[in-house]
Amino acid sequence: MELIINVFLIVLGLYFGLGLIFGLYFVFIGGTKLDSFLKDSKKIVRLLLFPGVIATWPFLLRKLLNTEQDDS
Amino acid sequence: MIASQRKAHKFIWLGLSILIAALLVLVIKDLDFSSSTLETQKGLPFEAMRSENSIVLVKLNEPLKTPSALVYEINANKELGAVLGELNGKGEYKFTLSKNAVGITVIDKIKNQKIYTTTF
Amino acid sequence: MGLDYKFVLWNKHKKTYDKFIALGMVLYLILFFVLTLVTNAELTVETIIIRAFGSLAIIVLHIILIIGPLTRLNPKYLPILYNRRHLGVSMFLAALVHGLFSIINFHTLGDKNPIVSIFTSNMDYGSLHNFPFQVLGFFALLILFVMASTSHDFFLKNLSPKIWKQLHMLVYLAYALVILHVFLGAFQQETSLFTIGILILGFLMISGLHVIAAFKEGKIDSAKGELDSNGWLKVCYTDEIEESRAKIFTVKNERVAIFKNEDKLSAIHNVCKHQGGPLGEGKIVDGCITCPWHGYQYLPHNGQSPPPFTEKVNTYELKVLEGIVYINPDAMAEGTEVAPIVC
Repeated sequence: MELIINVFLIVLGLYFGLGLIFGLYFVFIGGTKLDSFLKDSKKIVRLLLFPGVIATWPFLLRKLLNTEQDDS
Repeated sequence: MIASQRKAHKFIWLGLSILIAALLVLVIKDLDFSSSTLETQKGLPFEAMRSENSIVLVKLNEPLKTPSALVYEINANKELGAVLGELNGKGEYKFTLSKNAVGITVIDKIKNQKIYTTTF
Repeated sequence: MGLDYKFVLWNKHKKTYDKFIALGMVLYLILFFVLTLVTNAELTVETIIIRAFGSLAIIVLHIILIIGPLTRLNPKYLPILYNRRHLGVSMFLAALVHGLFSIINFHTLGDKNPIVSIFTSNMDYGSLHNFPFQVLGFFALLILFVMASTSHDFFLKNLSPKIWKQLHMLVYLAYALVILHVFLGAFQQETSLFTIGILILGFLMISGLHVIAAFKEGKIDSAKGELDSNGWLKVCYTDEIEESRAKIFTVKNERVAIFKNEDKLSAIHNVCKHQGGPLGEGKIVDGCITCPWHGYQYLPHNGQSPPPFTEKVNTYELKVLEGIVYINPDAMAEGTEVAPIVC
């Protein structure tokens, strides 16, 4: 049981760790590529979005990659 | 809501109602306190009951006059085992026993006096 | 609607709503502290904080879960639904305080990582009554975090409304976890028949209302209307619909709003793309159908939001014969132009 717990917590930690790195990129650079509304929004909005980006980063990453593919 | 969401809501709530109700009933059933009260000591406001699955229920019918009341388990060697918790006043308390516990004892640590002891 | 995102989309009504939320929560916490100090003075401040914020979060969660079925049973409750999002975020913050204080109080004293300690301090995973209830609370808090942190229009748009709605329907799983967390906690830490009784009452109320509302909606969905020889559904007389307003009908299990704008009729899907608001309960403002919830707008003849916005809903074909309105039950693709019918 302890092994399952440890593996689960490591996966959870990795998910949020990667989310944190992606979140920093997304909030400062990537976000405006995905949604032009973000350009004209106040900086504090990006701060508010940060936790949500960490939580849902795989969805946003997939959408960001699709957008970049469509652009090129 | 669109039709598919309305349908999803209906099945989720029908499922949840049955599942949660069943789990709550099973938990209560699992607790299954034996109705027999363990040996009580005359003049003391204690009642202790042990469930089949290593939980002990201590009922304190009136406040204790002693300043402190720590509950210890008694292990298989009839020695004091781990501290289970503290009695703070009138009420019902539940403690989880380790597998080899054979009883509990309540001790006033300030006066270093045994107040109550019972074995199962 | 705007071309940028706001920190919080506030207006006069939402501010009043939020003041009620804040006041209610503060009053509850004060009352809890005073009552606990009077009745059980031996408890430590940390324990009171844990219990106060935990019970507050559960009460708010019950309110949140009851709003949906209440509005489906009686539209007069719609104003409470209007700002449910802020209620949800407030509930998460209360649950977070409860969670953090519990972790600090019970799981930071040993040499183990506190999160690991939540999972390993009680390893009785095979037991029903002695199952580690802290783990259930941890998962519930995780779900509530995902929901609260994505409670912004940015995520609704960029995760897609479908994924967003699916994520937010996880609240039902969180509710089940919370119920079991409190139920087992109440058994394992103290025998509080009061807590257990209140919890069961709350559960009966919420699940009962949801099931009743679901059956009521199911009845509306299955109502059969009169079809003409071409399979078009007879819905109403032209004069039953007020100018600039709509009537809502069920067509092939979906709700459709038929609007009258300058004596011409147009039909669109009743569900707003923003948060599922009932478009047919709104009215036409400056030639646009305006959602009663957050003011999202659609053009009656094509179901599209006026540029630069990109939201689109399904449109439907209509015909009028001898003052009776008929609708083609097959929806047109989202944003399809359908010429309005003169009454």
